[in-house]
Amino acid sequence: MQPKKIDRVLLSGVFIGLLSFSMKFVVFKENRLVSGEGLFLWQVLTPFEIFLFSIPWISFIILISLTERIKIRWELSGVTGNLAVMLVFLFLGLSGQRLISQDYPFARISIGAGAWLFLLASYIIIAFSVKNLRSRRLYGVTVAISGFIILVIFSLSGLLDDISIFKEYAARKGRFISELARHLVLSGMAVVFAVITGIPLGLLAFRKKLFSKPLFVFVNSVQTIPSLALFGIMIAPLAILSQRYPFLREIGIKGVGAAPAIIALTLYALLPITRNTYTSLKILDPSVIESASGMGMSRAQLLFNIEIPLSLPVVLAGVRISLVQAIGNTAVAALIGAGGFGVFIFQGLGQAVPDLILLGTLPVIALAVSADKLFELIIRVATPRGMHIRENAVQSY
Amino acid sequence: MIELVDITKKYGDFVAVDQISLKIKQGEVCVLLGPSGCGKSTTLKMINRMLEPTSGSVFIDGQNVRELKPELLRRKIGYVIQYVGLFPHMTVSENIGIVPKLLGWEKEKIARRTAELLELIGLDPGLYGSKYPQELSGGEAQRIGVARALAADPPILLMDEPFGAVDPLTREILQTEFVKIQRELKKTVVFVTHDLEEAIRVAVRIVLMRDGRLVQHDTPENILAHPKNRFVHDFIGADRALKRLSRFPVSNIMRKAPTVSRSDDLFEASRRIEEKGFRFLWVVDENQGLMGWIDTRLIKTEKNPEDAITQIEVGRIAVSRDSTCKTALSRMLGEGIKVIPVVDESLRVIGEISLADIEKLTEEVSHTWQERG
Repeated sequence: MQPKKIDRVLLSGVFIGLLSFSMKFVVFKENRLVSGEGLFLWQVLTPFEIFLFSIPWISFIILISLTERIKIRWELSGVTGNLAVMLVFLFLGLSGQRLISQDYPFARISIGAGAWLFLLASYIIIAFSVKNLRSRRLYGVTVAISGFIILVIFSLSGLLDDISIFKEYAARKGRFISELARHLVLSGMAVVFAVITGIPLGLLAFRKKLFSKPLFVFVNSVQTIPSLALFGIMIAPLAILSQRYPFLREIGIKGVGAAPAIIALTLYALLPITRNTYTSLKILDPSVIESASGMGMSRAQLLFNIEIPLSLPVVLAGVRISLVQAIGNTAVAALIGAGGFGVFIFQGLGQAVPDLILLGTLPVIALAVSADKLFELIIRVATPRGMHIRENAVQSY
Repeated sequence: MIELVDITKKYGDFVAVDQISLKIKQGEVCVLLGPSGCGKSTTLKMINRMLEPTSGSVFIDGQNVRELKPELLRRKIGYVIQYVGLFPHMTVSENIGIVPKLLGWEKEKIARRTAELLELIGLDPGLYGSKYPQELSGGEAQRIGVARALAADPPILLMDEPFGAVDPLTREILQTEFVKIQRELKKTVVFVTHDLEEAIRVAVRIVLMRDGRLVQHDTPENILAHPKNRFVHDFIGADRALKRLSRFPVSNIMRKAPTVSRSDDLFEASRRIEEKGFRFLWVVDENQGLMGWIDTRLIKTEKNPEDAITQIEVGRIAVSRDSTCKTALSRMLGEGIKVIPVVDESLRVIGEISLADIEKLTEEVSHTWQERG
């Protein structure tokens, strides 16, 4: 008899989840600066609620032990994972309402280590389920994002108002929106500039071999400069320039602010785009090019009918990396006054308020993940069908 | 007609092609043959201006190719290369239809032409039209490469080691198919290969090249029979007489064969044939189908004339009129007989071919090369 196979990822997710029961679920704070008092699940919930809370985790254990026998097990584990996420938020909200009374107007609760771990464990299980649901994409996407939808609904209903991240958000709603816009503009513009310069550079490197070496030495070494340093380096020369040529200052180019940030971010975004453009051309089958021009395609026809469709997916993959990277790097740009979500991070660091740091960090992560997923979709659409077949063939081996 | 006049191609000091002059007649398959690096591909690529000659000119039907834009010139010349170069992002149909599309044909006309070509190369249009190159075998891809080159019905076809990238068995099938298709289409073909067997199989004329120079330009029969110098002699190998036999169909040297029906008077027939100086007589059945032979010497000692008939397995002994003399020879050697019958599709005897006839053919092969000047 074959030994029963147990999904190890699922198992580790459940293990982390069970471990979380022994950790502090919420932290009660009298005001935003004190470190607060951690509370276990049983200190904030009734036994019935704890039972309710454990249902998803009991189900996971059952699911694992039945593993091969259930056909829709990935659908089940995905849905149950989201149920677990929902319960975490629900009880966080409830315990907030219970703990905070009129006596403490500045009181709030923070999400405790236990709650964080519950979320982590749930998402390990959800991610693994989504991966196994690849053949049923729509279903997989639903499972992946429903946790986020639940969060949005709860926060709109006011259930989560006592949680400190939401308190911090409520205190700077307007600022949050403007920094979001700023963050998007900074990273978006950097990637647009990197595309505009990187693709021609990659092309040039491919056509003129002599040029490719110094180019890649340059773009590679830019990557090795720490982002903080690169932002810093920009300040002096730009300040001098704007001092000397006042019209530069009029169009917004100064030693600090958006200009140096976008320049530095563009430099970072350059490598993946340039390299992928270069590679995409390099891996083009020479016999395809030879037969195309041998059959009488003009230079332009060759470019539009053959070279672009075949290399586009690889170039887009480079843009995808650049964008995700730029969204992350933009967080640092706040240091030189460029704005973006980094503002909250550095404010939080300055005031020693962890939840304010989170208010800056979590949206950056969300943005990066969504940009990544968006580009995954774009690349899939841009990849010609004949190439998908090869991909699948490779996977099936 | 394609005419190369004194074309030379230099890369720096290296002379890849050295003053080649050559006329290729309409409807002829001209094979550029030679060891790798002899300049045969370079020569080919100067015809459709994939490369420009350093000096000299190429004329197609009297027109200098330099006077045409390369793209326009190439659309009138089919081009097949070793690694095919099918476009991976296009279906088989789209691949085949690319030149017609460049030429601005209507959609339905392209679709009709594509299906027609797939039929021609023996692939089911319904099954293969929507496939992608990644889903094809090497042999199928090569076939489609040829179909793509034929799409706009160009009068000229340039083939650069077109069957070089497939296994030997598939290669032979493709060569045979190509010869069959070419017999029908009668394109002017310039075909580059380093494979002598392939050249012998497909060529009307062979241009043998070495170090960028033209060494010998003649029919395969003549090159095999009379190699011009030691290089040609060595290149075509010691078994050239045998190779040459594959250029002659048995119909060339076949002679009339004496037959007798089983229902006839076998004694009488044998006597008559013996008087004429023959010894063996092919025996046919009521439907004129070959069934065996009679040895006129044996029949005298047999009481029952039927016993003198040696029944044969026709498929193993007889050859068809299109078989090569090489096949006929190997049949004779394999079966240990000196005369074999030639039959038509319904296995009726249309003639016979003897070992002596084949020997006579090989006598034309000179013993050494003819060194001239």
